[in-house]
Order: sequence, then structure tokens, then C-alpha cells
Amino acid sequence: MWAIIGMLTTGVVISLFEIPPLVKKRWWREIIAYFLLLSIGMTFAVLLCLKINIPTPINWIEKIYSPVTSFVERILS
Amino acid sequence: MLEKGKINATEFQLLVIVFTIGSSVLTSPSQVTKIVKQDAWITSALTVLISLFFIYLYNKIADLYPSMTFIECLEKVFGKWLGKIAALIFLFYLYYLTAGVLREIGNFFTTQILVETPIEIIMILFLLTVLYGVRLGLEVIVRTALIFYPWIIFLLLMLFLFLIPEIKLENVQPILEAGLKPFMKATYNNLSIPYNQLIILLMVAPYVNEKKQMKRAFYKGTLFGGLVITLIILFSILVLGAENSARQSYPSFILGKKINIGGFLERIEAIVAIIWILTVYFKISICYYSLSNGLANVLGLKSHQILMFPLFLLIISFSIIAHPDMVHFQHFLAKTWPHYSFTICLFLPLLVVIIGKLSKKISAAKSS
Repeated sequence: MWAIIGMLTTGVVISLFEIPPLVKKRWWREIIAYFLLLSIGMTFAVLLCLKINIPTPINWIEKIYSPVTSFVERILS
Repeated sequence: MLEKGKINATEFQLLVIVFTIGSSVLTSPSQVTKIVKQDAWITSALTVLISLFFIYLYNKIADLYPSMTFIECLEKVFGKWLGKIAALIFLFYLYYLTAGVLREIGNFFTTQILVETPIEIIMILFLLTVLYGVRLGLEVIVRTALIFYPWIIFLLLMLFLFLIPEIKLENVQPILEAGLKPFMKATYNNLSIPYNQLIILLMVAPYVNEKKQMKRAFYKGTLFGGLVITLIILFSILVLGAENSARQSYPSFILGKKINIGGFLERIEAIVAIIWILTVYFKISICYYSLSNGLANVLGLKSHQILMFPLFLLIISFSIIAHPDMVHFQHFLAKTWPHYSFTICLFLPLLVVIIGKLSKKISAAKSS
């Protein structure tokens, strides 16, 4: 619980430093990108703090490459 | 151009050396000795020579588009949308690499040095220092590397010198016992651990101001870094023996424990840890920097500093999510990673070179 609160406050404090100069320069695209990435990162971090299991994309990569893997294993062993 | 800093060829060479040594100095001895036993050092030397072909390919790209980072090259070569997709695939590779190297640091610390500290704390602290360096820009990273480079070399020399009394020559015999197939497999695996990751330096290459010397520096840096790794592997076989180094997850760290000069200078394994932390720091810095620079390019932003804090959270969480445990990590590294790395670091640049050359020829033919 404390980890989540701490993280959210850090996020807010850093955003308070990062965002005003961007608003002054009217860089809207950067602001959107910042908040998009920040919210994805925060979601992941909160899910991790709550110990919710997130499926790893590494397993998908392993699945995609499994034909190659087995082929190479067959040739080189 | 998102980066205003400029670096020269010597500094670029340092980056290549540090990038090659980082992370493989600790992990590659056990991965290679697992497959070919006492011939691992021959494999490693061979790999360095093969990796020069990769460098040739990357230099060709730097030749074709001297003022563009690799991400910009992809967009230029493949067109806007296909280019963005290719760039995102490359960025995911980079993202995984950053998180993976960070996870390696966490694994190392929690198993060898700070056993009771949670892995997250170590990774957060390490990445915070990286974040600080990266936010200050490319020039600052390079200057820091310039300061620490003599230390890295000095500590490496000390390690090798102190280990000479412990060498047992019979550990490398019989030479060339492994046979052709394990040999090829080990070379293939070893290529993907440090050498073909060097494509990431193409993200830094456009900011080098001496283009001619840069190519030589790229070759020289790779050769030197490869030499260091080969020596480390050779020493861990000579001192620990092939069986023993294959069984350890960090043989070169155990190597430091073996040092004993007259019962006086003992247990200085921290040397290896310091070498490793310094080199890995720069490796992660380069990856992190390239990641934010590339992402800002894909999204069409005017500055990439703004992306660094969100990326910090993303990298930390991905390094925990990606692998539930160390067995998963090792399995992925041994089985799938070489193929994955080869598709990104060989086929993608090959396509870029072929299509880039063709389109240059066509446009030259049109204009004449």
C-alpha cells in the first residue's frame, strides 16, 4: 500500500516539474506522449505492487521463435 | 536532430569497448563453457573475428546515412508507416535489452553481494544513477566513460596479473575436443550476447564528428573489447577448470576469490564487481539513451528528455515482469535470445543496406 502511495506521489511531484515548461512552449504532443507512457508505467507498477500476475511478452517471443529454436537444436546437436 | 552534443572518434571507441565488455564479462564465460568446455576461449576468439563482419555491415549503414540515427534510417528506407513499425520492433528489442541487463545486475547483487536486499531496491537505485546521467545528455555520459576508463583497464590488468600464479595449464587440454557442431552452436550463441548488440551504437554514430576515424574506431573497439572477454574466458578456464566454470553462474566473480598473493592479498573479488558495475553502467546508459531518443523520433517529439521519467517506470516494471524467475531468464537467454537477436541485428540492417543502396541507385539514375 505504502509503495503505491509513494510511487504515485513521486509521479505527481515529477510531473509538476516536467509539465509547466512544456505548457509554456505549447508542446501538446510531448505532453500527450508523456502522460500516455506515464500512465502505462504506473499501471504496471501498481499491478506489480498488488502482486497481480502479468503475462510476460517474452513467452510470446519464445512461441514465435519455437520453430527456429527446434530446427537449430536438431541441426546443431 | 534531438541531440546537440558532439563526440569524437576516440570517445566513440571507448563507448564501443565499454559496451562490449559490459554485462558479458560476468555472464558469458559460463554460457560458452557450458557448450564447448575447455575450448570456449577458441570459440570466443573466433566470435570476435566473425563479429567484424557485423561491424562492416553497421559501418555501411553509417556510410549510407551519415547524419541519421538507426531509427531515422528505418523510416527513410521503409517509408513512413512500415518504417515506424520496424522502428517499434527495434525499440522493443532495445527495451528488452535494457530491462534484461538491469535484471542481470539485480540477480548478481541479490545472489552474491547483498543477499537480503530486495531486488527492486537495487534495480531502482542503479537505474536512478543511470537516469541522472542520461538526462544530462550524450556528452556527459561519454566524458564519464573517459574518466572511468583508466580504472576499468587498471583493475582488469590487476585481475589478470594476480591470477597468473593460479594458472593450471592442464585445464585447457585437450584442445579442440568439442567437435564441430557444439563449436558452431557456441559461436552462434556467443555472437548474440555482446557483439551483434553493437548495432545500438548506430544510435550514437551520427553524433560523432569524425566520420572517417569513426569506422576504424568501431573495428578497434570491438577487437579490444572482444580481446578482454576472450582473456576473461581463458583465465576462468585456466584457473577454475571448464567443469567448474560451466557450473557457476558468475565464474569471473569466483575468479576474484581465487586470488592469493603470499597469504596477504586475498579475496579481492570486489575488483571484478567494480569492473562489471562500471561497464554495465555505461551499457545501460547507452541503451536507455537510445531508447528515449528513438522513441521520441518515432512519436515525432521535439525533445526526448521528457520521456525519461516515464521510461524509468516502464523499464523497472518490465525487468520484473519479463522473467518470473532466474531459470526462465537463463532458458530464454540460451534458447531463444540468439535467434531473436539475429533477426533484429542482422536481417534488419541487411534489409536497410540493400534497400538503401537500391533506392540511392534509382534516384541517381533518375537525376542523370
